[in-house]
Amino acid sequence: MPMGRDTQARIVAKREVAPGHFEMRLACDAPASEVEPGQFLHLWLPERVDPLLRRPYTVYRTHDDGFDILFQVVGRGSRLLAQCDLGATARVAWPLGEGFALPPEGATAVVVGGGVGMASLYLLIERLALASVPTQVLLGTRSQDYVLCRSEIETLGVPLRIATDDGSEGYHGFVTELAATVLDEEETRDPHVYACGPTPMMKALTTVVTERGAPTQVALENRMGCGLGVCLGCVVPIRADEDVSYKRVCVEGPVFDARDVIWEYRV
Amino acid sequence: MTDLSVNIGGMSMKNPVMTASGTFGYGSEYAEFVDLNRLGAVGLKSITVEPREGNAPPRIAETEAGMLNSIGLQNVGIDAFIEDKLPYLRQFDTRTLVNLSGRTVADYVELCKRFDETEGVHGLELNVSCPNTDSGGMEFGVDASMLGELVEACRRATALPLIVKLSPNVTSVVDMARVCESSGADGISLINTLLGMAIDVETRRADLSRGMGGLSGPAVKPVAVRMVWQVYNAVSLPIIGMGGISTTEDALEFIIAGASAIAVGTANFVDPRATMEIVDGLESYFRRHEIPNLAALRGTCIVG
Repeated sequence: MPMGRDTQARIVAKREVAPGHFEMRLACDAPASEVEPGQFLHLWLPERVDPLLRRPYTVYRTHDDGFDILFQVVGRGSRLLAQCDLGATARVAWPLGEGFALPPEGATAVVVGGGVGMASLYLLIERLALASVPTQVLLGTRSQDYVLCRSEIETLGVPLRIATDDGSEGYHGFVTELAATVLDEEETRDPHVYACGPTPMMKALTTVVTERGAPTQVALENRMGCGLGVCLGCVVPIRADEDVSYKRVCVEGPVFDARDVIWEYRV
Repeated sequence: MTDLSVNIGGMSMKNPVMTASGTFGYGSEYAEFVDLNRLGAVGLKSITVEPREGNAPPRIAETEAGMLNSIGLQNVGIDAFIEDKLPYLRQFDTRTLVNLSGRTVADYVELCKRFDETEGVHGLELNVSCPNTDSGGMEFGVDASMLGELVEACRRATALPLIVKLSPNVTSVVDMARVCESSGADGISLINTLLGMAIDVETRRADLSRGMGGLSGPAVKPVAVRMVWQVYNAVSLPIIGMGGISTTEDALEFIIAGASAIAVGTANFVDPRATMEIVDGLESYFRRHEIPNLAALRGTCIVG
């Protein structure tokens, strides 16, 4: 069980970084430096009973006085959050879940993001750069307008390759095809793959990495109830040895070994 | 001096605030947020004879001021519960109410007997109302003669306080409560979740893997208050009221309707400290209104 806490946070900045995609800064009096990449916070706009449940957001970036989150407006919860005024308060339980593990010495990292899945990967990219791990980032989006974290990744000096559905920038096609190409390149030595994105993307990527024997960690994004392992609402079937059992995305995840995830059930 | 202590069919509690089964794990998960010593009792996740893996996902769906769940009684089974989970709870100065589910009368009887001789268990709650499995006990909760038979058999199997958690998915909850009373139960928990359903209109797929699930949260509270009030006026057994309680005012509503104790359920998911705030809030309410004890408030609802 990770050490969790539930703190008051204040929304101090908000910016629409792509159509319907918001970056938001939450200030709280807590040391955010101990957050591992891939861990999440569970956010509640207090006194509300509708929508009822908290919403999980991966910690996008950390600061001395709090965190940033990056999210797409997809439903009532994210819409309400995007509409919050600066100065509004929220409660955040954090840091929750098991995050990404950095690759062993001598390995390279290939980070594959699909759309707003980048929100779960940016802190990892930052830590990989800090640890001087040779890293490539591949990002798949609808079009050029939806490329997230471009300047942040460039600032880190990490190469970024883009795949777009409409061909408006970079590779015209799926990011998983780009990933296959990159993994087959000679200079990609002992690649460790990290991914977050839509389920069809991660399912296709699992095939690509399994064929090539590349260790791969994926961050899952499921509906959650409590975020603390109690309600058993967010489980996914995970292979363990010969067996399959339900694991809680909020506690045993959100990061899993891609080859252990049974993707079929959620098509 | 406010006295919030209460006795539920032999289970004496320092205050009436409990956690509802299935919303508080086995107690340890919320230890960073809740001082278990300040709870009247901890209501634990349903236990079956054998471990159960639960239902396929998706298992939960948010609805207007509520949520649907279809967990399917996922639990570690009685052996692992007694071995791994119960020792943790023994260190706290509270009561543990263990919730039991089974497929047959024999399952419930076996569970009752095992827990009857287990240290650290202060009461048993028969789950005859889980809507989420094909054999989760709800058939007992919606059939008066089966319910009577089950409660009598369990009564013979244990000397522990025996609480029956009733299903709201019946025509007359009062009839079911009367059966419990005449069959030897010590108390009644009201209510389990209401059978519900939600559909994604774009895909036309039900939000839950099994289609139907149990509705909980603030949306069900008026139904629960009504059932507590009806049962309080019909039987003399103590009632543990639950269903959408998230604030002190909610808890008070149930007590005024006739509940002897209250349990916080879905609200634990949203605010792990909800029970603590309700304990504080009740103390302050009783002081402010100079009400000496719980009995002086219980069932005092004025109608008309």
